[in-house]
Amino acid sequence: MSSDTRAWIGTVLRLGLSAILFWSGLAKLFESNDRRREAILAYRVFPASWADFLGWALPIVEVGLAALLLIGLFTRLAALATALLMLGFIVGISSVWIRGYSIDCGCFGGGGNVSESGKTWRYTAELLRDFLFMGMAVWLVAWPHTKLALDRPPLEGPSDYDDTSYDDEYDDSHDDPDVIEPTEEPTR
Amino acid sequence: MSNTPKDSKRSTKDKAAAARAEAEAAQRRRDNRIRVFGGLAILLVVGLIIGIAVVGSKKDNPAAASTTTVDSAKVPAGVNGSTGANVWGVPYNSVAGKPTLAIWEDFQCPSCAKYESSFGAQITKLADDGKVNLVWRPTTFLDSNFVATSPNPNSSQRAANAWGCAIDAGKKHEFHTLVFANQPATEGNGWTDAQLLDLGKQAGITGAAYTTFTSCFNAKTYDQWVTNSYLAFQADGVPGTPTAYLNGKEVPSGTLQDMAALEKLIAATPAS
Repeated sequence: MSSDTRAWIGTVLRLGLSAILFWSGLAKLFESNDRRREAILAYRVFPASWADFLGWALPIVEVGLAALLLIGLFTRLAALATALLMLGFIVGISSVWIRGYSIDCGCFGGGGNVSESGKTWRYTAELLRDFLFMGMAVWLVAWPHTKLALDRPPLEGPSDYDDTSYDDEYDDSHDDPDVIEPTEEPTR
Repeated sequence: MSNTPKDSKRSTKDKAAAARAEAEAAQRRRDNRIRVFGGLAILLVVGLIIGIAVVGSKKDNPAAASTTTVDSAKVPAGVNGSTGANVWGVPYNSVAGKPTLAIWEDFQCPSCAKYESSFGAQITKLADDGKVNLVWRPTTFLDSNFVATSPNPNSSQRAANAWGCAIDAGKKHEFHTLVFANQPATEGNGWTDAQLLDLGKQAGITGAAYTTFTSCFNAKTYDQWVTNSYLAFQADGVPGTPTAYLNGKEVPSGTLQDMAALEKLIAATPAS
């Protein structure tokens, strides 16, 4: 796969994840405090005193990550955070399922207790979906260089960002798509 | 800079290198500017969205009579007060030496209506048979979701108010069943006041008792009781509705919706 193809695939994944996170974050943000709180409590993981804070923090983080992914800024860091967030959802949903509760995951708003009927299918679908989203994010962690992004192509991620002079020289010769495509793979 | 040919050649090379370094530095500055402004733009957009959401959330819980519990609030006949287990709860029955099953419900909650229609009769039968003490605990947390969208705002609060008046009229169970059976198909659409009063009639409240029921409802007699119960729901961190506690310990929904398993759990639980 040429680095150009990979960059375009990454672009589609980046914008797709951005749309998903905007949708899930905004849906939660514009719900009532009560519903946000109950959606968190439904997982029976966090104490009641954390529910209000997490009810606000989670959608804010989601919208923030969505915005970063939309413009392609700090793509690798944002994708890493998104992958960890999805992992958290996967652990959370598995955990309520194992403990015998039937809840709406509240992933795109809503949430709370729901009927047992259709539980297996519902949880399976939610988990598969979150695994898919996590896979998309992991791709972007591996190859954060995408098209239509504010990130400077040679700079891949935040670790490069600290020591600019060194990394610029290194990356300029290393990642320039016109020059080194064949030797790029083995060095990774 | 030297004038010898050799040095001149090197100088050209140096100049080229310097020019490239200069171009790279300019490029870097440009990129950094993009990042700074991009980052600021992101902060601004996210901040704006959050601000709108926060302002919007201010109109939450308009249904609640107040934001604080009033211990001296008037409660319907036989209903728990501010002390003991399951404060402000509605006891269905009382048998000595048996555990207590407390079920939190919001009259507008579709899962509660579904639970009531599927298992309500079996749950009350367990109580009627003297196997368990049943306590219904009303909450109104769904009201705040439908402030702007419901044709009948505050329906959870008003329905619970009407229930309180129906309890005084001796129709605790009947009214409870009827409200859930007449829940609108669309969550949040709720009931008009006239519909709630009519449910009282359907529950069998007639004559002078119906007049009392009507004036009790219109005067919002039990508004503070309902609010107290909602605040207890919040303070306890109850994870949604329906949620059931057997002697204070939550019953997983897998057990709650499996009558054989629930009965076994109740039988194995000592008196509270």
